[in-house]
Amino acid sequence: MTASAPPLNRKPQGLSLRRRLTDLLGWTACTVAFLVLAAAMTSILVGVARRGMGAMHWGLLTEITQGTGGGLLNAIEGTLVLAFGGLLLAVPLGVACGIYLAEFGQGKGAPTVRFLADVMVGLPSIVVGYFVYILAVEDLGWNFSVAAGSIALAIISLPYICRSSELAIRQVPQDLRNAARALGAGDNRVIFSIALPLALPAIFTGILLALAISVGETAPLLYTAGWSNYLWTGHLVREPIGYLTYAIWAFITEPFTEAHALAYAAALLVTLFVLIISVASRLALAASRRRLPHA
Amino acid sequence: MTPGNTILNRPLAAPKPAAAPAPAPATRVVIEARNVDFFYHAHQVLFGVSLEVRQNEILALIGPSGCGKSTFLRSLNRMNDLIAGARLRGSLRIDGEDIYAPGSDVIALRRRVGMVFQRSNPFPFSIEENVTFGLRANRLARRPGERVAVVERSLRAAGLWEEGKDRLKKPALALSGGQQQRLCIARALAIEPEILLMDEPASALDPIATARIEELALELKQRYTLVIVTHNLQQAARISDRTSFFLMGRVIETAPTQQMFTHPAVQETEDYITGRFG
Ligand SMILES: Nc1ncnc2c1ncn2[C@@H]1O[C@H](COP(=O)(O)OP(=O)(O)OP(=O)(O)O)[C@@H](O)[C@H]1O
Ligand SMILES: [Mg+2]
Repeated sequence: MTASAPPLNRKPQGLSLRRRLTDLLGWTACTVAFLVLAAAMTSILVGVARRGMGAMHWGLLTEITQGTGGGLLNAIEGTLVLAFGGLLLAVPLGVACGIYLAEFGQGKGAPTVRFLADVMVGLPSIVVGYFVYILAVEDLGWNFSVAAGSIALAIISLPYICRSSELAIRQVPQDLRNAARALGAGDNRVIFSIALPLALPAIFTGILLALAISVGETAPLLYTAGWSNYLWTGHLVREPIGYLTYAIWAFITEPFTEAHALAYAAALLVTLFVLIISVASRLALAASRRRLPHA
Repeated sequence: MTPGNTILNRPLAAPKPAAAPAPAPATRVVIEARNVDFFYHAHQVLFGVSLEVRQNEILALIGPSGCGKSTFLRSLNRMNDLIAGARLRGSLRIDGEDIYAPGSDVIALRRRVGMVFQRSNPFPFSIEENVTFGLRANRLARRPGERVAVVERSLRAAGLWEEGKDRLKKPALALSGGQQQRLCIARALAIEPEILLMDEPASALDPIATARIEELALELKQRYTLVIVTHNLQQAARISDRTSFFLMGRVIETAPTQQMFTHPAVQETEDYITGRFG
């Protein structure tokens, strides 16, 4: 239309009405979306905190569940056992996969591993639960158990640990690897003396996030861990185990206020766990930033 | 009485026989490149490079940006092997041995041919751990006291002992830029290489730190053979014995440094050192 280019530093009032309207609309949409989200989050957190606090008492932490009352000690213990059981399986495998992808990412197997990891992230967790149910609970005859539940959680957290380890290792500067090579270091030395130690805080962050996800999972455990009112006696198979998210899921639908109190207390505990883990992972990340040079 | 420096103690005339047996010029050829071509995939960046580096000399590589100095330097310790698609043709011998011969030991080569990079890159560990890294990687000096001795010897050789001896366990990254670069030199010296390659080792440093690196290079050539890439022609003139001028992947001229800077044999060299291009 016009031949002359508009000056770069046009003042806002120079903007066309249409552009100003779009701008306004865009900002309004963003702000509204943020407010809706923030309001929803706050209301959930406040609701959980308020009702959870109301339901809190020492007995929760020291007693086991009795029907729809009592404490949550069994569930707290179960959540920790299952989450750590899952990590025990997923960390070695996930970190190994991460090292493989980061260091030998050009290799033939790498695209397959990456594809599998991506598919696993997308897998609905209840499908994982059902898969482990068929395989472990039924076919292997393990019944509801710590082993089955841990395997389900391991499958859920494996892709996170794998990809976050890969990123963590990749972010170790090439400069440092070259320096090591130039000093006569071979592949293994570069990986185990340079890449891995420097990536460790970031890998740890990924593991903590996987832990947070595990603590908050319900669906894969419904099919694999079952529920128990009692403390775990240490059997890996054929002994169901309780966990906090089950208490939320099951007790909130009961018609008793006593059960509701348990559900809210469990919700508050899960939230606190996740919060603590998130803060810890932030700290680990900050440590990794401090550790790495120019990265 | 302290013998030594007083003028009275000094002989009046240097005991210089008429035909001074000049210290036999170190002529042993340590590095010999013959017709080296180099490719990044199909892109050729070195064309028939031939040159020699002699024992205990400093050879400076100069030339405009992108002419292949770093590529040539990296081919001397086979760091280029790490770049996908990199390929070398021709012959590169160190101590008479073809370093690209099939089955030749890259790790052993890198132990003999140390490298200092343009951007100092100490490991984010302690000063001591930086110096001992090469020892650990190569399983050298494994007896308890030995590593301590190597740390001191290497830091001294790199002129960092006085500044570093009280902070051996402190993080290397807390050192200044110039100190970090000297630490990188100490780290390379710890495994006692024969040859030290330096790619613009002082280009990121201030003039004082640069001067220290230059002094250091002059000291190091007593024991090592040095190849230094530099963009700083004065630096080349100050420290190197001979200079090779690279231009667009070719060696245009290799000559004793004084001669090259006063009477270059080739017009392109003259144009470059007088700043007419590049
Ligand atoms: N890793 C690489 N992959 C592909 N091409 C490269 C790579 N490294 C260098 N080159 C190319 O090879 C040529 C020579 O580069 P080189 O780094 O050896 O030059 P140089 O003389 O060291 O330059 P400078 O003085 O800027 O450091 C350039 O054209 C460059 O683009
Ligand atoms: Mg270069």
